[in-house]
Amino acid sequence: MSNNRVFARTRLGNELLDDPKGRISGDELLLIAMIDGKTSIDGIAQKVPPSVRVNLDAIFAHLLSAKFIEDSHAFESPAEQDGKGQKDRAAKEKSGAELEAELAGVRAQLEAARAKQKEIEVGFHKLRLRVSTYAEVRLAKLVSKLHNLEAKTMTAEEVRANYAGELKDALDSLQPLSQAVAELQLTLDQTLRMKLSQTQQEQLQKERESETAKMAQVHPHYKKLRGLDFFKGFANAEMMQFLKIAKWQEAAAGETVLNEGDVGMPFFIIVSGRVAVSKGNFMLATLGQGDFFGEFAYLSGEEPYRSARVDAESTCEFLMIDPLDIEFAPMRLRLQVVEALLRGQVRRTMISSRPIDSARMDEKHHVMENLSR
Amino acid sequence: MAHYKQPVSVLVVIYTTDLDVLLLERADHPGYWQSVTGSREPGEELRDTALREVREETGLDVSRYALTDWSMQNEYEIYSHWRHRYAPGVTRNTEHVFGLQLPHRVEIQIAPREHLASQWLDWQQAAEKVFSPSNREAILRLAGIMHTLRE
Repeated sequence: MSNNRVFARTRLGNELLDDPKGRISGDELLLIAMIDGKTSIDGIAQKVPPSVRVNLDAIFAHLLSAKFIEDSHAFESPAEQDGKGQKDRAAKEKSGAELEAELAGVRAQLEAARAKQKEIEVGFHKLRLRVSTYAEVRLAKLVSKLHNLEAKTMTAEEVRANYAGELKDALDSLQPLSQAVAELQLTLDQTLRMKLSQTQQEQLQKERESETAKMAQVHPHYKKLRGLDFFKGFANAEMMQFLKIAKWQEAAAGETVLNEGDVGMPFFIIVSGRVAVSKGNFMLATLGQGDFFGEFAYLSGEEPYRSARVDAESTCEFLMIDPLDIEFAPMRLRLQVVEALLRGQVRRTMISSRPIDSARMDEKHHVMENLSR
Repeated sequence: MAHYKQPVSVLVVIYTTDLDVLLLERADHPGYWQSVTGSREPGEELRDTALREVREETGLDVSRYALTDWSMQNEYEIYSHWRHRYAPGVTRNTEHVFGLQLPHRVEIQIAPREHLASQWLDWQQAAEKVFSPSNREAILRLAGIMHTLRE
């Protein structure tokens, strides 16, 4: 038997539902909760468990009598009730159709939303896949780089280890080698003493020169010589080299140092004292400290004969230099010597081109001096 | 016309069978010792140059001794202050080495314009004393040859 009666909760029923306080049984409370003013008794019956369903009539009767529920049309006037009931039914049907349409619309929206969701999920999945792939690839690369670095570090360490071994070996074998070299050097030196080639001689010369560098500082005449005009352009080292090849010579007052026509190429630098230069009966010049003489044989390009006579006017000290030694000397020293000689010659030329009267006076003076001796 | 020296010369090592070597001190460079040397005159055979220079510089009667050509040549740079005696542009000289063997040391008559003194030295001392590397080489070679001959 069907029952399409529809109930609605009264104000009392709503209060009860809000605050049951044990005033009704659980089944009654369940049914009150299900009363919604729309669902029929049959509709409710289908939703409740069978144990409740068998007592349904009794429970509803109780709820009605307690005024917790009422017919959902109870507050309508009985006069209107029939006409309105038909209208309501029509309205209900109409709203049912609208509702179904709305439902269909909502369902469609839901479907669309689901589709959208699915799309997004798929996109998300793809993205996640890409991200994870990217991350994996990146990681793989980093890992391989790390491996490479490790490998390189290992190689570097191995190389270092190898070299350290080699270095040690080399150092170990160096000691006997340097001993052997020292022994060979000794043998070579001894051999060289017997057989000197030109270049070897030059090497020895260099060694001697470096010794000279020390010796020259304590050369007995070093200070006296350093100040001489002739050595103005000389570096200290060149001075030392020069002193090594120059020979020290002394002459007493009146002694003849060079004779006109003699053979000889060395030239002389006056360290102290004065000399007179003459040719035949003519006095050519007197020379003093820092001047030089005897260079004509070297520089003239003629046969090595003395072109003038040189006498010591006072006690003299000279440095005598043989052009052959200049020939064997380092090029720079040779240049210094030749330049010094050239400067001296230029100075003399300038003096000899003074006005003729003063030159005559000088000559007269020299002749007088000569006669007085 | 200027008379230039030829850039061809001789070096004559005068020595005894005991390997004493005669050295002469140069007049133009006092303190520099060497064997007999000299440049070839125009049209002269090298051998004749050697004999002439020995005669001029020592006064020895060269016909009494054996002159040997050692077939040894040295080419060297002419010292710059000697170059003016050669034709312009000539900077190198070729020296041919001869040996003159004497039975023993003899008195030497030096040429005063060329040399200041003479002396006999054993070959080691002589090799030390000479200033020219080619002269030293020749004396050392002499010693080497003589030793080889004796052994």
